[in-house]
Amino acid sequence: MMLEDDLRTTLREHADEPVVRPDLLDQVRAGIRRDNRRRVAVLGAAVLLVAVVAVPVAVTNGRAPDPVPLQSAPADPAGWERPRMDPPTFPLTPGWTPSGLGASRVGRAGPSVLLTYERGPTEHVEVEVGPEPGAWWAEGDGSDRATTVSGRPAKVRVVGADVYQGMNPGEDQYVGIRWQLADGRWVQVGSEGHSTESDVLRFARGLRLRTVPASPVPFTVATAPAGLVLQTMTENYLCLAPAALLADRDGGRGVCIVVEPPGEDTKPAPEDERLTVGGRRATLSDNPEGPDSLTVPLDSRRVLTVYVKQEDVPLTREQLIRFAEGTTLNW
Amino acid sequence: MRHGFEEYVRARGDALRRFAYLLCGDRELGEDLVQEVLIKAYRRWSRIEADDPGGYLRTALVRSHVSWLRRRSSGERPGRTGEDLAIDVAPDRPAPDFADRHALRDDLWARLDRLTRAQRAVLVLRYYEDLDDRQIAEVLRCATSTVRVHAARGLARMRTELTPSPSSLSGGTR
Repeated sequence: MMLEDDLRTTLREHADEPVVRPDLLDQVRAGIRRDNRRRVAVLGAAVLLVAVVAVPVAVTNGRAPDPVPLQSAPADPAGWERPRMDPPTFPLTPGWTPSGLGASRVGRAGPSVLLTYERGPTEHVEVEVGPEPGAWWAEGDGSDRATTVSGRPAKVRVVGADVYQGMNPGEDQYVGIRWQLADGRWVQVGSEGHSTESDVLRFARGLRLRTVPASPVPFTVATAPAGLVLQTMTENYLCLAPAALLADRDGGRGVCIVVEPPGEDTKPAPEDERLTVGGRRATLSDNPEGPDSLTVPLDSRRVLTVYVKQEDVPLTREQLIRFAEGTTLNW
Repeated sequence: MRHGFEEYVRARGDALRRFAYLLCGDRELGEDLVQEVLIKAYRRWSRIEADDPGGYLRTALVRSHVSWLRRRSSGERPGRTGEDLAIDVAPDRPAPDFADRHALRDDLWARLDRLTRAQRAVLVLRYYEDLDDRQIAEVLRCATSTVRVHAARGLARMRTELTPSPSSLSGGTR
């Protein structure tokens, strides 16, 4: 038998080895939830600036050699309005934070509000308060233990970086703490990075019922379909969705705006439509349900993308462009 | 979560895990890779689903694997040494039996660790996914000739690694 045949057999044998693994969908769901909340940090130190996309759009359709400017900025579609974007406040104020974490930021993911601290791409502490228990960021190994936080029973999970994605083995760890407030709301503290279990417990036990004011909204939206509310908000990510979808704790519903570093999934596909938005090259992606996303590179480090989930907020191509035209980056 | 995405992950998740395991050579890394790719795919699922989700995810796994493992280099497990990999086969042994062949396959698996990521990806795509070189080139975004070079060098490396033992079971093939 030739080496190639042995190799083929070897690969199949190893692929078919029986193995017990956690439910992939649960893992992915937790990751999506985390992803929706954590479009931050990797951008590096944010420069305070205001980038406005709200300028006339020219369209090339990816075929005509020269841009064909629209006659004028289109009027707002019927039934559109400036959306109300009331940024959330956070009900618990920390009395102590691990050193070096820096300033906090208040955000939203569906029905839950978040208080987030970031330091670099791997140091992250987040408190979530919501109507349901929050998600653990890492699968437990059965060693969760009981404790108390402010006199309430709590559960602690610690997972080392050797089994937790994206951290430095031997240096970082995940620490999660979950408890329920007297009024029934759930609190979940998550930390990944250098913070120790005792640090995170001290942080959790220092939380007091006092409001942290709202953080600035990362984007201003001039016009959108009527009735949309702020469904998700982090430092560089914002979603507007019908109020009924506010209950989706995964976040990321409706029409979403994100600014992130250029990456594989911000590169245009060959079939994407090429446009220019405010003098910047842009691409519009379609799927059979309608337009899917509009991507506008802002500079070498940042790409703005507007995603639309058509099942949540049906938008035509022109409406998606109009929405993007009215978007202002506030940082 | 989108219904179609959930259905796809339930139906095809294990196949993706198997493929990622072969690419990475490590179950934990493979798990991380699959999760990372699916999390990214979720955002654009309606578009992916309408086209060729299997092809899209396979491509995303391979491309992410290369850049992703590079980022994780500090956590990458060290490759085994050549001494570790030597096959203990008597020189005058006439023909491989089942146990020998099983040992050889274990050894081949270990030797895959010593290939570059691109070489390994090409071999996995060719001998596990049964893609032709043109399809592999599309996945890797490179020329077909580059695929052939990766494959040839990968196979040659594995053969070379097998030669220290004169009667290695497949060492003299091709």
